Amino acid sequence: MNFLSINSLFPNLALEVQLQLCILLPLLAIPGIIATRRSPNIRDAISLCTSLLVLSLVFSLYLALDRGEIIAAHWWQILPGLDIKFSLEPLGMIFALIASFLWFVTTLYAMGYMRGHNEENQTRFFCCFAVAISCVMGVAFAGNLLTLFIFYEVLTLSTYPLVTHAGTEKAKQGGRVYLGILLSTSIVFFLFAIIFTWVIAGTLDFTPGGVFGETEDTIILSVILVLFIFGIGKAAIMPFHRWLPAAMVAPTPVSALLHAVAVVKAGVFTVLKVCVFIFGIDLLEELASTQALLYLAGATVLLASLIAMRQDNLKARLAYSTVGQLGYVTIGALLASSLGVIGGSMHIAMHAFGKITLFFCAGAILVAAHKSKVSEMSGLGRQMPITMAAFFIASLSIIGVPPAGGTWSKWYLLLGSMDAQQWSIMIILLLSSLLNIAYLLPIPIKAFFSDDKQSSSHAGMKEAPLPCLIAISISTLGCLLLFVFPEPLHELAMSILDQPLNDNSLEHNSLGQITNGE
Amino acid sequence: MFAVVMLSGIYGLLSASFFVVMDAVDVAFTEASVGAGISTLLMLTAVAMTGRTEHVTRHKPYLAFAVVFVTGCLLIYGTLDMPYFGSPDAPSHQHVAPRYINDSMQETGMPNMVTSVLASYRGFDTFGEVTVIFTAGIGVLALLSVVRGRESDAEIETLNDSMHEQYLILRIVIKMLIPFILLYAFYVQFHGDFGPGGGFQAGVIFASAIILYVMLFGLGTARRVINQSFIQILSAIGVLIYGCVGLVSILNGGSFLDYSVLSDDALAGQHLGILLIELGVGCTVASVMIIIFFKFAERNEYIQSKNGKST
Amino acid sequence: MLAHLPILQVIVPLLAAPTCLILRKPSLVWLFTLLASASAFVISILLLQQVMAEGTLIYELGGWSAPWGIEYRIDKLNAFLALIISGVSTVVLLAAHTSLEKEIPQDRQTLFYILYLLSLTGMLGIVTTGDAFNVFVFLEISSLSAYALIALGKDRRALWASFQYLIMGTIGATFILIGIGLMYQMTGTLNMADLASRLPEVPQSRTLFTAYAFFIVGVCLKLALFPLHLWLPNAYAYAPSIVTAFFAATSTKVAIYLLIRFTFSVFGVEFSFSVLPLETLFLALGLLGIFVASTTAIYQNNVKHVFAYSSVAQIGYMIVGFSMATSAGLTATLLHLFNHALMKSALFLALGAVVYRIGSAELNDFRGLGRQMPLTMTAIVIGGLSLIGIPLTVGFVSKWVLVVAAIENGWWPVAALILLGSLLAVVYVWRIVETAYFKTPEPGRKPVKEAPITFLAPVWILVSANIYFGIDTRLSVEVAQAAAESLFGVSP
Repeated sequence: MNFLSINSLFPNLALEVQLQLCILLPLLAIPGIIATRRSPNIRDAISLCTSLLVLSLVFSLYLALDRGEIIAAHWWQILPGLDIKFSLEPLGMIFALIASFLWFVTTLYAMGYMRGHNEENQTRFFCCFAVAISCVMGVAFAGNLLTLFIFYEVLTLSTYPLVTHAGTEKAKQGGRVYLGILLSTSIVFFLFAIIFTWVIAGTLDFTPGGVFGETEDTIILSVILVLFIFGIGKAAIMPFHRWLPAAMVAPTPVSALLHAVAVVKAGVFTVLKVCVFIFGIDLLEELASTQALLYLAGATVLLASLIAMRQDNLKARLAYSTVGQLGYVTIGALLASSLGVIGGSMHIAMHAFGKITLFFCAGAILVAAHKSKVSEMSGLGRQMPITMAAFFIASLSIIGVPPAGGTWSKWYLLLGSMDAQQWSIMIILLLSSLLNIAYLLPIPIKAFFSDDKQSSSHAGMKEAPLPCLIAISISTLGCLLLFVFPEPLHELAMSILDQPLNDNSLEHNSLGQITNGE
Repeated sequence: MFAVVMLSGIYGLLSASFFVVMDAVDVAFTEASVGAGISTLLMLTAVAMTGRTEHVTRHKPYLAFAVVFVTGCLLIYGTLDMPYFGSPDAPSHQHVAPRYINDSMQETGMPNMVTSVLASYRGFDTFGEVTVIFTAGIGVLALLSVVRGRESDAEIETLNDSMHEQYLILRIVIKMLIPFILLYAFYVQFHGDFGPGGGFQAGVIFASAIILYVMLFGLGTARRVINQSFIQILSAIGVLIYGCVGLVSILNGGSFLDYSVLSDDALAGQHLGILLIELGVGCTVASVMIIIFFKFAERNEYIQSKNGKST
Repeated sequence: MLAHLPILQVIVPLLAAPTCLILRKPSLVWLFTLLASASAFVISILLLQQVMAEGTLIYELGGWSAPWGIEYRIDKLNAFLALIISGVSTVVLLAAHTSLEKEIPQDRQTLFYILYLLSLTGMLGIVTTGDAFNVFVFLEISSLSAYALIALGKDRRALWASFQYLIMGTIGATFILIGIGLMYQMTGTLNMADLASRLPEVPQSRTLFTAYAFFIVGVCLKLALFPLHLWLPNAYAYAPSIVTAFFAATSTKVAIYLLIRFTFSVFGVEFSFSVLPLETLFLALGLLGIFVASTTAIYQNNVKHVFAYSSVAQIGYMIVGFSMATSAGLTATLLHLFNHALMKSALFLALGAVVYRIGSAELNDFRGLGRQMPLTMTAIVIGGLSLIGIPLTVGFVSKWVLVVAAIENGWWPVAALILLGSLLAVVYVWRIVETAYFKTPEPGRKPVKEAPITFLAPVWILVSANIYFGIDTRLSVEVAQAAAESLFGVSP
């Protein structure tokens, strides 16, 4: 598949340069976007081309990583001992791959949506989008906690104009909750935890097996873990989840990419990174707070699913669904088992594809049929068959049943909870699947099979605009493909815990667990 | 407030007499001229402009009283371990003072130790103080300037005549005294290195002569005699003289305000340096005092005329 | 010439001031003032280089050696502060000519520049001298000129604000003088290095305690430590914009310098922290200042008041670092001195641009300004982000170093409180952002143009410095660390 990567165009581009270009290229596109603001077609073409370029760069990096190469870059030193530096490892690779791919897809979708909806300030929109993607790349490739924190914060700030795009009073209020919760948690808890880690461990670099030595006081480390989990507000652990529903005032492409993919995934990605590379899963098992936090994550999953069932506004329902799904990844991280880590990282990818499809559909329904409430969507399947079919498949992914990709991630999470002997978590996972069915499936079913009065009122509505449909189809295809071909993703996920990367002396047994080759 | 001003004037005069008892005549001189003299005068002018009694305040000054009480107690507490008054073992008499007392004559050629310390050993402090006075003058200029029309000669004459009638005796006596006051000011200025005196006192005395003139002959006449912009530039020149002496010292190879390099003989250099800087001090002090008084008086006149028009 | 740099640092602006009186014409005077300030800046850079390379510089004035004469002692701390003061002064002056057009009547502009130069002189004099009484003399110069400058503000309330400042400032200066006087009485010397060597020999007496107490209270009045900060908000809000931009960055820093210098170099750490319960006292007052002032800032309707109260809060941070009495804590304080100067000068100068265009700094008048003055508002937003402590700005670096110092000292609750204080900053900064970007301007108000380049250039120089020094912290952190460590070692 080498032709897809950047190497076909620029065969001699050093890997380090490629890494940094991933982060810089979206920023470099911004002047172009601003300059061509009067000609929307050229402007959108620039966005599209940039996203394609980034995608090919990321793909080339993936191939290099697969070959076993070490890719790292160093920018500069901020304080003695604290650098901004990047290094590529499998978890980051997963994140970067889905983010860059879905950015491309979303740009397609956004073009259709913004024009169909006659949105204003599209230039500002695409510029902020570019900054946000750049930050996501930065988070994915971060080599230490400081770098991650910097891009994490700038991500919050750059998505604020996107959330409050409408400029109305409601948008302002939503923006306040969004910024308020995210900044508060990151400054008071996350930064505190980072500095604490720095003082105790002396380094912030992501290290396989964790940075804390053997002899550290576990009580302090438990406290630090709590600070981390609460501080990473983007992972939407209750009670700091309110920003997600509040951010639904944003236009749907924003909700789709950022709140199904970029921002929330940055959050759970950070949780995984912290658990695996700062604490190390062996240390996690010993800490007292891990169990409590695990229950909290479980409670988040259940409560979010329950609340989702009661939401009539489709976007709000999807938002609470996301809160629950993020809880899955956090559970995967806190299970302190390698299967959990594999499940969590795979879920990042599966949920991304599934949720983005759902949001795309919600936006399409809004643009084409002007409907935002679930109760009004009965019988819509006649007019918008493709959209509703996609909705159905994506729901399957979220629920976790074949033929959608979500099956595999849920499978590994269940295995992980059994491996860690967390039976209550296992029950929670199974229960929440049922709840997912309850709040997701009725929508497409009623859309296709309902015969009540509403169906006739939909007459005259067409399908969504073409770019939107293309985007929806691509992401749905992704859900299906990930079911049929999960191996690349699975391999990446398994190699996260390899010490060091791609060490061939370690073997995998049939369950995917790492053994010592005995 | 009138009572307060008077009391502070009396306080100044009493302080001057303390200093005389302590054999610090230079300081007494300065305190008498500045603390009891000019300050009282300027405060009275301010009172004339604002009103004699304070507005009745609604709140009782308990907090202020408490703060003052605590401060006073702390000060008294601090005196408990102080060396006895006049004790020869006190650190202030043991450390730097002996060199000033013993060597000042050889090193600076100046019998008046106060002047040698002020103008030579710690000349930079004096430079700072001159700048402080200059700052005060500029501050008054910036805040109190009143734009007023030029009075005609006829108006000035009328005022002059009316004042002549009112203050006949004073005017005649003062007219005779002013030259002597001015002469005395120059004497204090140039003999400050031998007897008590120096630039500050001289400047104040000089200014007081002018102020006397203004008080008795009216602002209009005084403005004819004393050019406003000249006085302002004079205040700047005073500071510049002082600074330039220091710069010349640098150019001659010494450090800033090192007078010994001003001429071939170190002592002559010291003499020259001190003379020049005292001149600078005198210029600035005199002109700033005159500026301040003029501005106060002009403001007063402005307020009176406004009140006169409104009634 | 190089050998005379220490004294030239002070003399250049000092002699420039009366020269302005002779020059008369405002535009000419402005250029001359700018030149003088720029020269002072260049001198401070050369001095810092010299000190970092050679160590403490000593300059004897009048050719007399200390303690009979006055000497100037420049070590890393002095040079650092001189750099900050002269640097901010020069950049702020770039916008002065334009700003004064609308804020000061034509006939007073020359006097304004003279007072500005005198204020600069006073501050530079305080930070470079090695003699205690000389400190007081230059404190007088800087205070008097400050009172006059503040009173020149257009708003009538400027007079009252200046008067309040005058009363409290004079009390502070008097206390400082009493402290110095008592110090002289117990040791017989006024030279700071000499005092440092003689004070330990004086038995722990009540007089010494009184001297230190008076001195500290006087300095705290000047540095606006809570609850002695009451003069600051009004003084900063009603003064001319250029004056506020300059003072917000420098005047309280000079007082903090005095606090540090006398506590560490003159009296010594052991004495200072044992004779008065400074650790607890300053920690408590610092934290109170942070929270009370930040909360008050949230409720202000005039943006200048918001940032003035914010300054009081930031001073609280510096005092918390000081109260730790460790080298790390002092480094944090010195670093924040530098960073806060950059933050506040940028913010107040940008506010000056807004005042120039719309004539007021009331929050209500900011409505819709995000669209009409985009560059200026972006500058304010970046300054605000710096105050909050977002990474890639100087504010983040300060917070990091301070929190690390607190944790290393074992003060974990204090570290949490420091971070909590940032949240209050989010609230009051975001109020301004929301008003400027989300609200539409009042109907009937004339459209407003962007600020002129004479404002935009210095504002963006300062904003870029905010970001640059948030990324490349070598200058600020190295010098701050070196200065702090030298203060903890032997006295200079």
